[in-house]
Amino acid sequence: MSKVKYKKSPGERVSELIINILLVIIVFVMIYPFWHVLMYSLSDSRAAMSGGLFFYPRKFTLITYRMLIRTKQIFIAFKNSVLKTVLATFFSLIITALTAYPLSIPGLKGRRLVQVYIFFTMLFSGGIIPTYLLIKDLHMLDTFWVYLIPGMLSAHHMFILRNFFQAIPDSLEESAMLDGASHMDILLWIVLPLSKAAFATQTMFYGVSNWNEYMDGVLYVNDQRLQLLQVYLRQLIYTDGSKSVLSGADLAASAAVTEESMKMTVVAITVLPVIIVYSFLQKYYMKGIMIGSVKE
Amino acid sequence: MNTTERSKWKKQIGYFRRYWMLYAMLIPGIVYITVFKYVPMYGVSIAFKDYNGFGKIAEAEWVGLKNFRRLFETNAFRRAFYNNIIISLAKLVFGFPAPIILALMIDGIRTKWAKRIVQTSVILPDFVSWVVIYGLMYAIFSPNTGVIRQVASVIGYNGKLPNLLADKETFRAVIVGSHVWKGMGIGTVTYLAAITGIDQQLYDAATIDGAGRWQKTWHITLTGIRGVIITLLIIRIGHIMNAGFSQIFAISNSAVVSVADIIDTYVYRIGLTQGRFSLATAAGLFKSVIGLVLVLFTNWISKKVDPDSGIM
Amino acid sequence: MMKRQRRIVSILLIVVLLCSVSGCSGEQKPSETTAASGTQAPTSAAAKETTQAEKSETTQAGQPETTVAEETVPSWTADDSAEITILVSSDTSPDADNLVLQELEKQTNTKINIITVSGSEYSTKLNTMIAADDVPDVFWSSNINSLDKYLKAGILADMKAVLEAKAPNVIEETKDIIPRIKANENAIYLIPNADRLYPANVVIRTDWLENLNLEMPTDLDSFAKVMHAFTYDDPDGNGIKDTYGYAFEMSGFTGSGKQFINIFGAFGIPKGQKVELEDGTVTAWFKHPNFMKAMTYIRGLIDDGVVEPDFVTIPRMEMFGKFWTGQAGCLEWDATGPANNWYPTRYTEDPPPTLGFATIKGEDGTYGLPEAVDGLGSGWVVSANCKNMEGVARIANFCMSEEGADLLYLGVENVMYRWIDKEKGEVEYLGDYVDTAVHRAAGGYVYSKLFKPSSPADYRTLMPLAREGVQLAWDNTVLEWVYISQASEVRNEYGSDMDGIITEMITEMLLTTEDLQTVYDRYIKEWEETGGSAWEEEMTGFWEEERDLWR
Repeated sequence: MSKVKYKKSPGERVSELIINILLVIIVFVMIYPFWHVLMYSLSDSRAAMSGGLFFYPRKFTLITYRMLIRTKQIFIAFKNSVLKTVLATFFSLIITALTAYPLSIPGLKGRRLVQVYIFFTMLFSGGIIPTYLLIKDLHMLDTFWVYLIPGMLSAHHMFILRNFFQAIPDSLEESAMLDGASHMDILLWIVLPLSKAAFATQTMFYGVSNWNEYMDGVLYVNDQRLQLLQVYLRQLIYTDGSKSVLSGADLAASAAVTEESMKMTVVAITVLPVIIVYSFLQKYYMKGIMIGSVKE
Repeated sequence: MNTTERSKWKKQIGYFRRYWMLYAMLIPGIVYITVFKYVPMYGVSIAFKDYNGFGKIAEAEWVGLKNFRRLFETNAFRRAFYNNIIISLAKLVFGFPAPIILALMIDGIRTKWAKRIVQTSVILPDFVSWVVIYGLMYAIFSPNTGVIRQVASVIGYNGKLPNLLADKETFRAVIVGSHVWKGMGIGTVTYLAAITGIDQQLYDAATIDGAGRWQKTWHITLTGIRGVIITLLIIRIGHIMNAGFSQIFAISNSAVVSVADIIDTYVYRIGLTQGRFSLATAAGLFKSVIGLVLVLFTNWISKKVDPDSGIM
Repeated sequence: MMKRQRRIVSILLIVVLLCSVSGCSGEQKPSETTAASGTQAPTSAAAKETTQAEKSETTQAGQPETTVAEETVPSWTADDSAEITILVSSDTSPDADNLVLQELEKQTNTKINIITVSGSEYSTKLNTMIAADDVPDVFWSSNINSLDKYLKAGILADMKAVLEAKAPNVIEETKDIIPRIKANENAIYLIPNADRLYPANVVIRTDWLENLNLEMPTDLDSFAKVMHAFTYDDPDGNGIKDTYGYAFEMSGFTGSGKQFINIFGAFGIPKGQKVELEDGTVTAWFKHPNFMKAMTYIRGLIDDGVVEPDFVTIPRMEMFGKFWTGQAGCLEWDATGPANNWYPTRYTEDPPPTLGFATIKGEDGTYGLPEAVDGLGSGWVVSANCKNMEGVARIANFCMSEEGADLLYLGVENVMYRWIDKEKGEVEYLGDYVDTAVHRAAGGYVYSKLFKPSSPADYRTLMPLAREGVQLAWDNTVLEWVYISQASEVRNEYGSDMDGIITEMITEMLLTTEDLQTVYDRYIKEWEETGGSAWEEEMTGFWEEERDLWR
């Protein structure tokens, strides 16, 4: 949305056309898998068995969705997952910003040391058992805290955020310092407003990983009342063919819904909330407005 | 003497006055990292011990490099190591630039709604698990019932089609291709966010100077996101030995295992599920050390090029 | 003013984060209240009260004995207030406090906490719990090597005394199986399920046979002919060549999978098991002298184009789909799938196909299957730390009764289901429980693997045709094979490497253009060098010891 207009050369027009065509293809290729899942989940199981691609539902039905919501447990699990995602993402954003900001200040002594200290943990980790023992010693097993605390800070996301902060012109901060603002003021009132896109990205990163994470739920929680949606759903779709309904006789399995339809439905209801939230975050990606607005 | 010392002292006080809050901000992060990352780090010692999952780790017997020797002893591991390097390098070479290019293409879109659609769509494949993706790949590439068969029939070809998913010649390309496609979105979104942080005045000024779109992309946009690119590259290189367990586990089969088996799938097979923690930890440590060496190297190079960049 | 406020706010934020990070002290309280249902035994007054209430409610025969036992026989634990945690692998998680679980607690006068984990995470969860010394009271040992490890680590309880005193059903039901396991010599560490597993049938579409005027195949030749006709003679009469004879997928072929198991049987090979060669060496099935012949036969079917050709890449469900949608006319699977679970809702044709079961005989009349076993050394084990072994014995005893098996599989009688004809095994689900999801949420089916008796409810409720198939398969389990119930050192170390080589070998033999014998020799050599030879030696030695255990 550049304010200064200029004329495009014919060469540029052609290249733009090519790029646009490419983008249309990319969009199709990117959207299709999820579309496939959604349409499959809305199709009658038997009609869906013939395979192939799905551009629209075959014999539209909501039976798999209705089957899923017939149990109490899924609502408990859903509530836990939403709560976990919101709270954990909130905590994560705070601690990530607090860590990333100081590390983006070039004059800070010991900065590199801290960075190395954090980066090292991206490469080396103690593994499942020591972590489990730690969480046990902290009395976090079977508590809600285990969803919020152990995964609070991702070194990967922190380094990216630090880079965003570094990109903010130092002059802004310098002038604020001269006005007597503290570093916390600068972070809260100058850096954060300028980094909306960065925070949207971080929110999405943390939100998605919190929403999708299930191993914590499997390992650290036995209490059904604290079960996560992903743990509940994973059990439904990761049936081990040799032991499940397929070989032992099971009256209930003769229902007209196939494992494949169920799997697609599970994927659809896991991904849909993410897509909705993500498309809301989109508006922070519009460029060119922020720097100007702060300067004025 | 006295005065210089005093001024030094004053300087220190001044420095601390100016920066104390930044140190305070770092405390939660450092405490977190220490407690949740460094405290369990003693688990790495399992790699040098004979620990089968019973009893205390500290009490397990030290066995030196036995676990590493055990890994390299079998043909299957050596093959997995080789595959691992080939696959990760290919993923890096093709997978790393892809989101940058895509982000630049999306940045060029001038219509707001179109941009939103593209931005949302690129991230979608990342949400769908590899197991589901495999089902889809099968539906497309099956030489007998897949989409390629139908397309071939439409254009009048009824001969034999290659089975891309079961052919040693093509399978690595399938791995890399599907990786690029599925993983592109996350990187793209990161770069797009970085692009929004570039000062708009730079573009305006360049336009006035008569710069074309490509020149602006090259000189302003790419330069503006260079820091993020380098950071992501270093992180990526640190994880270079992670060639994609969940992907390969989901999409490979016994006909292509000789070209697709990687360290993680090998270790999974030989018994992570049976509680052979020592071997799994040894393999993990081996991968991490390679990652560390490469990161130090990359970091050193990137600082030669641009002293401000780099993680360490 | 503003500035100071902001500073205070920011410091507060940091403090809050610090507290949450350093964890422990602040969080002890919530953890103590919620963790009760998890790993720690509840000692609260409320928990005791409920147990007491249940005790007075039920008039269990075993209850007065409990106190006696506590006084006279101190060799097992019997703390009825302690919660028994059971780790079960399941593909659904039922509601937290469901009907079936309540009923099970009531019937056995115990406090039970069943943790359900999906099959793919079961071992991770179990291994972690064991490593952290949080061993569940009852869990599933999946193979002989794991059992061996548990025993060596001393984490298992010997249940012999308490089972003999309190669980007559278990002793009776498992009396033939328990002594077959070396670890159970003069003890009972492993309580195997007592049900007989269903071996694979050759399931054939009889409507297609009729359409083509063919007889049910009885030997390898007629089988190949039928498969050929199913592929090329348009068995569904739609005028399009859209059918195949045999459908299978690779992971069901390699190892002990069900596919082609009857074909190997016709060559006298107990697929997936160990065999004794003429010189007395004990080795794996793929070194049987007839292995090459069998593979050549199967390769012949593939080359004839009568086998669904995507077998390497096809996902299992899609492979079944070929059978459900009438694209394949033969499947090797246990009868309960095609003739019970899938019948008729999964079949898309109208009317649904009619099915029959074939017995395929080899040149000299050889036929048969090895007995289907759920992995040697698999069964339920009890933690040495269990506080209520007597409770576990009661649970095991109840589950191994007909009543218990019905509860775990069908649910609570007259609430969730009703017998129409118990003799014939006809059952009707009641009200909302017709819906699979509701039935399982209430605890139906999900725990049915727990201490299964020899005649479990799933067998008793089979449809007639499926029952016929299962019976035929059982009658056909005549192939002899070597049963060794000791952990192998070599397999423990190199087993997966060895298996990997064989998987690749079999795949290559089905696809290669090279000479089969060359491929076979190359891989077998590698297998032997990777540990195969050492393993053979070890197995031969074990067989000397165990030969009589089996007889």
